[in-house]
Amino acid sequence: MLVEKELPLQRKLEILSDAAKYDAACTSSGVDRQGAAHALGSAAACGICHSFAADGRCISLLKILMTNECVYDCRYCINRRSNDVERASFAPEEICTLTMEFYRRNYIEGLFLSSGVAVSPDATMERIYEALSLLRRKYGFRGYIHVKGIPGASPELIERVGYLADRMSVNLELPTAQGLKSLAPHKSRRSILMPMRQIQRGICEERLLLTDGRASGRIPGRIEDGRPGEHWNSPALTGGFGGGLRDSGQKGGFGETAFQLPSVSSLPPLEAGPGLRRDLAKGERPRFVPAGQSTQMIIGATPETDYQILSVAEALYQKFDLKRVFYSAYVGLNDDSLLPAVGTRPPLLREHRLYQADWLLRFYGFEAGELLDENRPNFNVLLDPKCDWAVRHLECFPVEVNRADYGTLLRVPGIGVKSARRIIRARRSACLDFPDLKKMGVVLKRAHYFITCAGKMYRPVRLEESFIAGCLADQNRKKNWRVEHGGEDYRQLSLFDDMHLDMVPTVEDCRSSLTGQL
Amino acid sequence: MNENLHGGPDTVLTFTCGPEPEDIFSAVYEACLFSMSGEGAALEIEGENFQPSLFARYLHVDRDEKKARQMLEMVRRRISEEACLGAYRASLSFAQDRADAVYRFVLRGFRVGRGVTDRLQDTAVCRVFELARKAANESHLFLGFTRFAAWDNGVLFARIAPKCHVLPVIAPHFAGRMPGENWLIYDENRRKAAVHPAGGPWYMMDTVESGWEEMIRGRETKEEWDALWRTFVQHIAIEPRTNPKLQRGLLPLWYRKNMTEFLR
Ligand code: SF4
Repeated sequence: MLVEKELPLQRKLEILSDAAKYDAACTSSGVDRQGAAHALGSAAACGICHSFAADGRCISLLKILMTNECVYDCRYCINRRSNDVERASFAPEEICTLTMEFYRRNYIEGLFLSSGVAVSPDATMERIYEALSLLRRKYGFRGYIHVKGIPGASPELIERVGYLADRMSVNLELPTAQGLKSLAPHKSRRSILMPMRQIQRGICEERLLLTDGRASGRIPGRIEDGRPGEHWNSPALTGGFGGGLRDSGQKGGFGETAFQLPSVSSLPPLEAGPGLRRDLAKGERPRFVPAGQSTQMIIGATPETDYQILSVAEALYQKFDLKRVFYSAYVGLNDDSLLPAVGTRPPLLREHRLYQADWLLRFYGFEAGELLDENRPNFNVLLDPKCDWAVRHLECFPVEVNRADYGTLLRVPGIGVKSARRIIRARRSACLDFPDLKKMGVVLKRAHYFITCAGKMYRPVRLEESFIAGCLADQNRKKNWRVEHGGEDYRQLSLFDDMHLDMVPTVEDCRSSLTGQL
Repeated sequence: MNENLHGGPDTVLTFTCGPEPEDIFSAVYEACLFSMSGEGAALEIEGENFQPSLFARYLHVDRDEKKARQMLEMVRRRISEEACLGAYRASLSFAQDRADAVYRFVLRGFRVGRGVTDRLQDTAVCRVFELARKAANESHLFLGFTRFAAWDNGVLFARIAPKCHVLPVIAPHFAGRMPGENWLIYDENRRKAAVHPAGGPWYMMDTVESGWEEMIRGRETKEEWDALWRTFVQHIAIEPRTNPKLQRGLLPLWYRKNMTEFLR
């Protein structure tokens, strides 16, 4: 352990934001919270983006590590014990002042606090708790807080932190247990999945409390509520890829009853500070991780296929109720025989395809097994996953715009959530033709191969896989090149171009944007 | 309404008005009243791009907040909440034809009823929603892109230069978020400010009178938080992923004019 010399705040911020930047999560969404007199802050469910960094990623939260000291040695990580990098730590008060002053100036939507493992997981989690507790209670901060759950920390600490945070995330990092074992020897599938399961249970119990036990956690319906279908026996969980989400190193796997976690309500009540006391006064009570949990997988550090990665993501959505899975193209930082060489280009197109497919799982009613399978385990470089699926399923097309249901319209390449909704509304009063679609803002460039208006095609085309695939690939070629090499068309999370999901980049899971507005 | 306003078949009566929602809905009110006679009318916003035509007759409508409010209320009751919101938002956009678009939409709505908002293939409808979306999107962006700086007296000051009239949308957001702070947001394009005294409600202020700009300029100073924020923004980017084109697509240069992290 290094002796800590007092660094100036400026230098600490440099080191600890540098060390935090490889986490892909940047969103501030998922919870609505009104402001309160004499307190600072509120939260907007659809998320607000405050700036964009030079790499084009959204800046919404003050994303920092508490400390970049770490007793672990994950091979892919810049902060690993064996690296000779300058170390620094924030004092809890420093984190609070930075957050408050940045927030007052509207630089940020809140705080994203993560940390290296200093001394032990419990000691680290305890220190995170201290900082958050100070921020919420003494400073009365009501803005957004995203916090990392440290694998290996005690359930009791995770629970206490969960009542102060809006979102928690425990990073899966590598899609398979083997990958994890070879690259992160101090972590195990179990130590990652355990807090994840605990957080899920906490959220679920809370939901039951809020609804007087009437509703079960999940809302059925696969498209309207932006969730994939109810397929509980996904291979990724029950075996599949060398254990899938099961830790092959542990006995008993990870069944529903594998762990008995303390109940969320069995812990001592919180002493309320200005921010929380006001909640209680209004009949609100502190809520447990109200914006849900997310995770991240590193892409390209280990040899897993896209199919493996996507199946794991699907299982996480279904089995762990995750709000988001983030994908982070591996950036070669460490010289290590088990990793791609330093300076290897981060696989951006691959990351992009995974985000596209992830969107299809969450908002378009697709399943991982429809997009990829063991014989075609990787995404098509030339076509986005939806186009790729469509040209392989020409028997489903063309689709009649004036009759097709919402789910069917969503499967048409080029028609996104908004376009599909507009079509459904507009056809109530008229029979739609192609000029009408254009007027409504539906882009026909790709869609026209797959739809008819009152039985007519836009122009005669051969419904042949190779012909259409060729046409679509030509449209995509330039853009794909730009994604891989950095260019204007590539938008990390928004997918405006590919799916006409014209949502603000941070609007994830924002029900109102999908249902309420036009 | 004066009878001699009704002219021959080749001249259209054009009502002209100021640029803000209050002006626009006052004029929509008059135009709707006029068109009850069965004749068409048009609306135009007075200002730099206003080009009078030889074949139109013009009638200026003064702002009348009571009429404007009545008009909106009528849209809400006789058409729908959604139509009311759409029309209001469209009036916040910066399109030269926004007053006319709102007028046409309202007329169509009165004829069709609440189903009008489903008719997205109808030009009178889709134009209003297009403008409404523009205004809503820009307002949403300014929730994030607005930057405050603290004056010596503790007042938080922000300067913005939006294309749409975003103040009426973003001020309530900040009032809810920072109820205990004295803050003001100054729209330098429209010379208007939203002012919020700590603990009180916010209000809109005209700042056209002289002295305002000088007063602000005299107070603008550099703070240590500026520098810390710039440090953060710089260090949070991943170098091997540097992509200025992407950054420009998501945060076009004109937004950056008043954003702390892009000021030198
Ligand atoms: S635990 Fe692993 S990933 Fe986390 S900071 Fe330490 S070395 Fe890095």
